[in-house]
Formats: sequence, C-alpha cells, structure tokens
Amino acid sequence: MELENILYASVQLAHNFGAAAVTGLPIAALWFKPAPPVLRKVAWLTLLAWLVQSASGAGFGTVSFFQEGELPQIHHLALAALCVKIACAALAVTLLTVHFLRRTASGPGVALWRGLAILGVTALSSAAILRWFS
Amino acid sequence: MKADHVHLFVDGDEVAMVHKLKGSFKLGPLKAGDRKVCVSPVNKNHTPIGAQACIHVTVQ
Repeated sequence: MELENILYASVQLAHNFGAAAVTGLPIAALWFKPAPPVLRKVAWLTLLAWLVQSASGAGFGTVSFFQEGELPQIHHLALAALCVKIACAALAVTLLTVHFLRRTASGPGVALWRGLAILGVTALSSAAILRWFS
Repeated sequence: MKADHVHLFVDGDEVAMVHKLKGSFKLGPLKAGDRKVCVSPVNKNHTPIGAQACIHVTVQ
C-alpha cells in the first residue's frame, strides 16, 4: 500500500466525519431541541467539526503538494465550489466564535442553528461538485 | 501513484475531465488558428502525476 494512498485516506476519513458532523449536529439540535447545557456541548462539537473540516480540506492540498510536488488542478465550477466551501467554514467558525465570546449561559438560538444547518448542507453539496468537476 | 483520470487543456484552459485512460475523446469544436492541446493524467485528488503531454494543432 502506498504512503500517498494512506495519507489521502486519512485526510478523507477526517473530512467525511467532519462533513457528517457539521451538517448533522445543527439538524439534530433543531430536531430534538435538547436542554441548554446539551446545546452548548453540541455547539462546541459543531465548532470542532468545522475546524476539522478546514484542516482536513487543507490537508488534501498539502498531501498533493508534498507527494506529487503540485497542487490539485481545480478550475471553473470546481473552483467556485471550493470557494463556497471555504466561505461556509469561515462563516460558521465566525458565528460560533462570536456566540462563545458572548459567554451566554444557554446554547445557540434557533436562528443560529438554522444558519449552521444551511451552511453545512451548502458545504456538503459543494463538495460533490468539487469532487466530480475540475 | 498511477493516474485515475485525465484533464484536457486547450491553450492552457481546462476544457474537459475524462474518466478513462485509454481510447479516444471527442474534443471541440476548436476556434480556428494554432492551438496547444494538452492531456494531464491526474490522481483521484485531481493532482497531476507528472506525465503531461501536449501537441500543437492548426484548426482551419
């Protein structure tokens, strides 16, 4: 088994679980409406998931650069999809960071969870375009 | 690492992604004039594996 395949698979593993979490956690928060202390924990997990998404997303390019000496060839529609994913991650991390800096006792409100759910779904949809177009 | 698919370029602009490594692919129509057509085998992460080849064609 080649080292490059192991590295790509490891990055993909983190990216897949991150994608499931950034989309699933906000939807679960909206659907099950847990108590505020639980909501706070879910919010922290969502922030962690977005950070994992960002790091593993950069990891794909990093593996390519150090294994092949080049970055992936991404153009047109795929490049737009990548920009959308990066924007979603930046916005989600910003929203959650602002929420935690306010030091509120309760978890994020419905509006914030809806926003996070939309960002997760948008990023996940863009990922499909990024994968199959270039 | 072996190639997974190829990216096709005309004058440096990517025009197609082809998920086969053998056979033919219909490209075009191309604008008239001298054109540089390149094929770049890439891995599953769309990264070139270093075997790019180019030809120059004159389109009439």
